[in-house]
Amino acid sequence: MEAIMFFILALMSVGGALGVLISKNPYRAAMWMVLSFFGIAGLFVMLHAQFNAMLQIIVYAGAIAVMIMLVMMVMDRRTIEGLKRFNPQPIWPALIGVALLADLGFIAYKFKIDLSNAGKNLTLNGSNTQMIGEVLFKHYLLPFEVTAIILLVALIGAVVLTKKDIN
Amino acid sequence: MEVLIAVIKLIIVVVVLSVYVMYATWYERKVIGHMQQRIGPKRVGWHGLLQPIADTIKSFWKEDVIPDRADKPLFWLAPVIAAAFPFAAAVAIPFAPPLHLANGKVFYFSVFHSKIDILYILAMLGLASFGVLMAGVASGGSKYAFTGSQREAAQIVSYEAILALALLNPILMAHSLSIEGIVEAQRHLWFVFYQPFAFVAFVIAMIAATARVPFDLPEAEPELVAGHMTEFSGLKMGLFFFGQYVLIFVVSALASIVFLGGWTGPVLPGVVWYWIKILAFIFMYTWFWGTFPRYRYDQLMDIAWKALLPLMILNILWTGFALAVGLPVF
Repeated sequence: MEAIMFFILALMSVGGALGVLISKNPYRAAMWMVLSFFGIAGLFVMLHAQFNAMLQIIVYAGAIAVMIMLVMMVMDRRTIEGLKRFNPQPIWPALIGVALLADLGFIAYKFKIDLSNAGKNLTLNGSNTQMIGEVLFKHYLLPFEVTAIILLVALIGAVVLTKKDIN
Repeated sequence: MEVLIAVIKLIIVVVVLSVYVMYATWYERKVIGHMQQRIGPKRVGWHGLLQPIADTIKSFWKEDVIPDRADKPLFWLAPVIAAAFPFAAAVAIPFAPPLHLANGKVFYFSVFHSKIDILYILAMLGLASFGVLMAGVASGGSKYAFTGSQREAAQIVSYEAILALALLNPILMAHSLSIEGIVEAQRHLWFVFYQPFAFVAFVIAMIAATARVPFDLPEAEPELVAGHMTEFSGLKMGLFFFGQYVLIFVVSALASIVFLGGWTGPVLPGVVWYWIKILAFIFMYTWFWGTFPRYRYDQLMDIAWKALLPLMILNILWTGFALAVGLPVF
C-alpha cells in the first residue's frame, strides 16, 4: 500500500518535472510544475513532515507558480511564443546533468538503497512545527537571517534593474 | 473501518455542500432582492424554493460550447480544478464540535483532521486559484477571459499573503495550527477582542481571496462580460460557481473558528453557535454585495500592499513582543 502510494507520488513529481521540459506551451509547463510540487509535497507527507508538505504547496505552488503564471500573462503573447526553449550550447548543461545523475547513482550504490523500503517512513521521530522552529530560530539563527537579507538584496536588485530598463 | 467512516464522511460533505451551494444562490438572490426593494425568486415553488433545482436541471441541458482555438485539455481541466480544490479545503472544516466518545476516543466531524489544519486549508485555497488562471489561458486568446484571470492572479497573490499574515496573530497566541487547539485557546475570550486589526484585515482579505463584491475585479460585469468564465457554458460554468460558493463557506468557517471562537459561546450549545457564526459571515458577503461599489484596480492593490501589509507586520511584531514579555492583554 505504502509502496504503491510512493510510486504514484514519485511518478507525479518526476513526470511533472519532465512535462515542464517537454511541453511546448509555457502555460502548460507551469501546470506541470505545479503537479511536480504536488508530488513532492506528497512525499513529505509520507515522511510525516506535514509542515514541510504544506509549506511546499503554499510557497511553491500557491505563490511562486502563480507568480510565474502572472509574469507570463503580463508579457506580450508573441514574445512568449518567440522565446527559445533550448540553449544553443547543450553540451555543458548535459555534462552537468550526467555528473549529477552519476552522483545520485553513486550515492544510491554506496548507501545500498533497498527498493523494498519504498514508501516506508524511515524518519527517526517524525518532524513537527515546533522542532523546525527551534532548529531554525535557536541553532541556526544567523544563517537564517543572512539568507533573508540575501533574498531582500535580490528583490531590491531586481527592482533597480527593471527601473533602469524603463528609463 | 476508519477508511469506511472517512468515505461516508466524504460523501456527506459533498452532498451537504452541493445542496448548500444550490440554496446559497437562492438565498443570495432573495436577500439581494429585498435589499434592492424587490421580491426575488417567487414563481417556482413556495417563495421560489424550487428555483435552484430548476436552475441546476437547466444547466445540465445547456449546450456545451468549446471555442475552436481553446486549449482543449486545459479547457476541460480548469472548471474541475476550480471546483475540486475548494472541496479539498472544505474536508478539513469541521461541521460540528468534536465528540468525546465513551471509550476515550474523539470523533471529529471533519473528514480530514491533523495538527496543521490551518496550513492545509491555506494551501488548498492557494491552489484553487489555478482553476481561474487555467481558464484564462485555455480560452484561446479571448481578451475578456485573459484579462480576468490576469487580475485574479495578481489579486490572489496579494491577498493570500494578507490572509496568512492575519491568521498568524491568532496562531501565535494559540501556539497551535490545529482547529481544535485554536478554539480551545479562545475558551475565555475570543481572539477578535485581542486582535481587532487582524480580524478586519482577515475579513477584507477573505472577500478579496474569494473575488466577491467589492473586490470582484476578475469578473467585473461592465468591463469584462464574465471575466474568466466568459467562454465557459453550461455545467462548466456551473462548476466555477460551485467552487466560488464552497470557497465562501470555507473562509467563513475559518473566520468564525479563528477569530470568533468557533463553537464556544454562552447559553446555546456549541453547534448552534458555530453555525450562527458561519451563516452570519455568509450573510455578510451578500450584505456587502448589496452595499458596496466595486473598487478600482489600483485601489485594490494599494489596499493590500500599502495599507494592510505594513499594518499586519506591525501587528505581528506587537503580538510577538507582547507574548515575549508576557503582557496580560496580548
